[in-house]
Amino acid sequence: MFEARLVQGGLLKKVLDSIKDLVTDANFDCSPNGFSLQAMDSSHVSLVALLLRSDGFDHYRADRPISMGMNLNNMAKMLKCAGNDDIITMKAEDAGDTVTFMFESPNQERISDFELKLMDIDSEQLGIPDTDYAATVKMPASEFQRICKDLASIGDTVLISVTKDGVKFSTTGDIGSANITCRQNTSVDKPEEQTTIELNEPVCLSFALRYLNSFAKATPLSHTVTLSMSKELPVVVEYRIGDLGHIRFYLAPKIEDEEMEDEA
Amino acid sequence: MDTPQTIHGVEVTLVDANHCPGAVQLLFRLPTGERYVHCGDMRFCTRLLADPHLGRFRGANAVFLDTTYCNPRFTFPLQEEAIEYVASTIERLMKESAAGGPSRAFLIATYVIGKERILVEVARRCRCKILVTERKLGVMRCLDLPGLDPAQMFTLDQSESRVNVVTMDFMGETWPYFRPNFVNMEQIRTELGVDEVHGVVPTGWMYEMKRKAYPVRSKEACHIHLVPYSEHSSYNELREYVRFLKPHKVIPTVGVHDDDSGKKSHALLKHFRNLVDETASKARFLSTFRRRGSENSNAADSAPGNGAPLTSIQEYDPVKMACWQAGQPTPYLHIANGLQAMERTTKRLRIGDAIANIFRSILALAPEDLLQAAYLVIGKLVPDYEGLELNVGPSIVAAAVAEATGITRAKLRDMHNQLGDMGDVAQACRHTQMTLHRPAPLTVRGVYRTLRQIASEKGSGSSNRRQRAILGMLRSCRESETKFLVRTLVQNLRVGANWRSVIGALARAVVVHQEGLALPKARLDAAAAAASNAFHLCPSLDILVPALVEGGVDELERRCTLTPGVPLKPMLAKISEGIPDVLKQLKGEAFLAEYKYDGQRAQIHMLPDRSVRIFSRNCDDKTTAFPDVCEAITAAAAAECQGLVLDAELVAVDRANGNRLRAFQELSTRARGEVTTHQVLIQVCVFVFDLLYLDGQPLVAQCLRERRARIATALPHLRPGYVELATSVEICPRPALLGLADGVVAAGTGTSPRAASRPELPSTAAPVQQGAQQAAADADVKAAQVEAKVEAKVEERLQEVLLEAFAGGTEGLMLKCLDVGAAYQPSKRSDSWIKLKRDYCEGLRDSLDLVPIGAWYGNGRKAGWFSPFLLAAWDPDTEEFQSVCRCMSGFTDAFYTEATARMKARQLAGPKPYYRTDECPDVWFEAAEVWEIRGADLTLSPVHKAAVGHLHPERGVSLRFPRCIRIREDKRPEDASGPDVICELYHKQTRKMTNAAESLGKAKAATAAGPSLAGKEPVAEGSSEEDDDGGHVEGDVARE
Repeated sequence: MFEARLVQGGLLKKVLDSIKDLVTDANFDCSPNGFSLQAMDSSHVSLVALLLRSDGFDHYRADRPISMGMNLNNMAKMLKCAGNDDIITMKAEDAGDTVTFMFESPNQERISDFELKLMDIDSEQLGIPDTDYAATVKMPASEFQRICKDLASIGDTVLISVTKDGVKFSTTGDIGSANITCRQNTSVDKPEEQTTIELNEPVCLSFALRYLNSFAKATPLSHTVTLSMSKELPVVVEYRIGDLGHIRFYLAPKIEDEEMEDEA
Repeated sequence: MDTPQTIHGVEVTLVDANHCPGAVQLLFRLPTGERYVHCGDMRFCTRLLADPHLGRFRGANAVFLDTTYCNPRFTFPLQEEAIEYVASTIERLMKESAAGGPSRAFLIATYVIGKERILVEVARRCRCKILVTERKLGVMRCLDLPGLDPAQMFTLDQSESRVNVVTMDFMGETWPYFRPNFVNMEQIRTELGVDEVHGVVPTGWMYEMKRKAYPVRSKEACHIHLVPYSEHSSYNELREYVRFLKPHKVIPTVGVHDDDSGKKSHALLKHFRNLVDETASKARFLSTFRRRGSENSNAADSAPGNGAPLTSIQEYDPVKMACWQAGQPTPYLHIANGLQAMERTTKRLRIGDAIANIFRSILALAPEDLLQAAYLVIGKLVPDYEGLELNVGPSIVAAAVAEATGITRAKLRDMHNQLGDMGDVAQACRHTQMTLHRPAPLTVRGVYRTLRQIASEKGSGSSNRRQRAILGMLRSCRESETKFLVRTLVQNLRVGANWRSVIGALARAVVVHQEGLALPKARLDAAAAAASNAFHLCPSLDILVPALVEGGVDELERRCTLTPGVPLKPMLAKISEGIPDVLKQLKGEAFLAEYKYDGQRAQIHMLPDRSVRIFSRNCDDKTTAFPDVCEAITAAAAAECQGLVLDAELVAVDRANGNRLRAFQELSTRARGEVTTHQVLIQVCVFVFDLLYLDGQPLVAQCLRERRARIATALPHLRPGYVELATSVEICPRPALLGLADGVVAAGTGTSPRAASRPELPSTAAPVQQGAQQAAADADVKAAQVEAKVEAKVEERLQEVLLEAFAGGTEGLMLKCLDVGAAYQPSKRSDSWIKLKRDYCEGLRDSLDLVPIGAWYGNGRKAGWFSPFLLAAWDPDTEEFQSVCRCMSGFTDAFYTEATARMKARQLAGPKPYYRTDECPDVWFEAAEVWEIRGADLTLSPVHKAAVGHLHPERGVSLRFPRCIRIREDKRPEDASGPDVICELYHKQTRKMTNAAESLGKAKAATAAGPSLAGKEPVAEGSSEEDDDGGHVEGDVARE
């Protein structure tokens, strides 16, 4: 038996909106620790890892770990029917083939049940390593979203270079090029408007903007976003979801140099 | 050496480095399990790879590499080749000297140690001692080289030898490039008192290597031979070494000193980027990025995909040479490797063998994948008749390729224009996006399933979903998979695999698999023929492949039979060059002369449930386009009919006008897609000419006479203008031999009113009969005469029928053997069917002079050239170039190359305002030259605009089947054919039809009056008359 009740039901809606374009089908794992998902996009370039900790829910019960395969678009269709202030409860039997979403309006006047059929998904579960990154940038999520959106209209690849002074996003396209630099500013009053950089080593990596823009759909979940980078490794774009958990996106870098003759 | 030693807990092994004597590579294994290779100074050779110790260090943590020549410009031959060159050169020069040539001394430059193998070989080949310094001799004595005997080969005595060993810098500086020092050499020359001095400098530091393998520098009597002999590895060898070791990291040891920034070392490392184990270089992170369950998923990766199906069937080992193991699904790479191999040859037999080898591996390792594999080899998804299309346009593929490779669409377009094939383009693009985790390798089943899914995508967003599916596959592609996957998607594999070659190969593969290799060739060929026959009757791999796998070749006949609903490939006819030619081809057998209607070939199936399906000549399902025909057939068929298959021609008719036949062009204006009966504007009549299946019985093996007889039973309710029998006349050219007394037998066998038998020519029978009697009584000479007479008679009769056929508005005649060799041979262009068409008899004798004004980019074989060309006529009144046709035949390759180069120079940004056409070629040209073009006939066309307004208000004239004869150097574009010429030719050809009818009347009158043999003359007159006649007969134009 799995049961999870979330008073801030809107969060779940936002979570789903941020990942449904990246991944079509995915397994949600419900364990005593929490409600989590891990999935790669079809071309294995990016990975999304979601964790909603059990103690963040208002009620959480998972007798034994179960895995629920869902089509995220279909799940999103059902969650769309929930109001932003609704309380959402998820329920599933251990061996059942459906999951039930229950939406309660804040004043308890309206209660709706939606039952979604589960599917068998051949998941490729990956272990995600804990690593020390060469550079970690924390910045306002809305700023990051804006940068990605703006640059995508110029080019399709962004070069992110982090130095101790700031983080620079650059792109080149047919019509020209663009550079946006965000300086480290710890002096701002509100912590969520700060840009901070922790640096062990300068890093410079290229990424497909298409994916970053897709990640930026998680902006409504959090005020700040954290980018963690190391040479040749995937970038981690993390949005914290209050004290409930986090959503992390991993994106493999692009190969930069074009000089070499193609051998591949 | 070659034995692992443990020093301070570190296991150290020394292995040969093929450098100078004593040089070794060091292999370290740390207690932690980390492995390192320091190759020291090393000359790579394939022998080193066989070393068992080195083999254990594949995938080492790092390799300290001898990067002396780590640059693509350092390519030099194998040591063996260089040694051979030195030895043979010196040997040759010595022989010349001995034969009275100039006396010569030789110098070989070496370091104190190293390059001994050159000296040994020179001493051996030239049978002479080599002068060395004492020190060098001492060194050589210490060495233990095979074939080295210092006492025999070397001397310290100047007088004993003409071959001196000198120090490396004696003849000049070698680094970083060679600068000769002729002074030293000249000195030696004087000392030794010889005419010429030849120096040999073995080194790898040779910029001169680019063009010439073994350059010689000369100054007066001194010559220096630069020999690319090095004891360091060349660039390619280094890469091969690294490829073999696949280390996590390469650490350069040479050429990176005083390099603070690490830039140089970084530049060096770039050369090995693809060879090092990238995933391991991200070890800390990605080692944990591992699949939870299937650890063995990479097994297929690691197996070397040597993919050598391009060997003969005998040499191919289906298990060992395959790139995967039993029990695993067949990787798509297996198919791609096979296709790649086929692409390299144009020889049919080798292609056939390659396909058979592909299938043999699958039969041996994963037989359940055979069906899908067979489809993928042809690049299809389902039997043709099911008509399932991929529905993937070039733009979707291009978008997916652009996204997978990160190349811009514009660049892609340029590459496409250059390479002409999307597959080659995709293959040439380097992927710029890393993945988190290598996708699972593509499998045959997976690719097939995805392609089916792509084909069945419907509705909104379907093109997006298709593109995503393609992208997913492209990301997973390895090696040549990209190329062939893309080619499959654009439905053009271009490797010479078609249904026929695949079916034959399938049968051979199955036979070899089931019965072993020791089979006579005849057995294989018989199997291939049997499978091919079965496929013609039942062109469905879905039925054929399981039958083959389960029952072998012998099972085919039982399981693959003609069934209503599964179309067979229609039988085709040979072309002829005129009546005499036809008669020769028919070899005197009885035949049927049948009207050749100008319509659309249709194979009409009626299933036991009386539903009707119609298939085109290419077995495409056209049922939905002809609901009216379906109704007509149901009405015509016998009520108790349990299924039939008809071969027929669908012809547009004008029912209101006495069922007059209409031109093919009008039929083609019918809607192509799905229509309902009441939407039909162009009425169609079915002219049935063959019956292939009736009530559970395939009739293909029966003779034509028998099949024709059964049509009456099958279709008792014929209705003029809806379903008719094709008009036909039976002609028997050998009455004497068959013992028939009535000479040329001619009887209308058609039951339609159109085919009403006309009175036979009574006068023709008599002389022949007489002749026959004489022949019987007299000698052979006379019999021959009679035969000649008979032939003339037949010819005359045939001419008459042909003219009637033209008059009836048909294309000509089909002549079919009735009794001998008269079975229905699916898909064969058989000798027993011959077509006699106006094109072949008369053709368009006059040519048109046209101007190329545009062209398309060629595809496939013609990639890189323009093809087809858009040709135009010149209208002096409107001062326009009006398009006439696209022309793509009659050109030689050389012509294409030249024309493309010439036209490129005249390319325009867009059409000139005075170019009139509805065609949209890829490029437009300045009108500058005139080509002479010949074609079959002229028709009115909606896109081409020649002589527009003269014959039809909007439509122009176009030339069918154009081919280029030559360039008219003598004509300017303004001298090109104009509307007057085109109109005249157009009228002339329509007049032929009407005139034919008229002359037929005349001929009949003549035969009735005069002696029978004269009957031929009026016809001939008639045809010559129509050519000379200047008057315009507008009869057929009015019909348009």
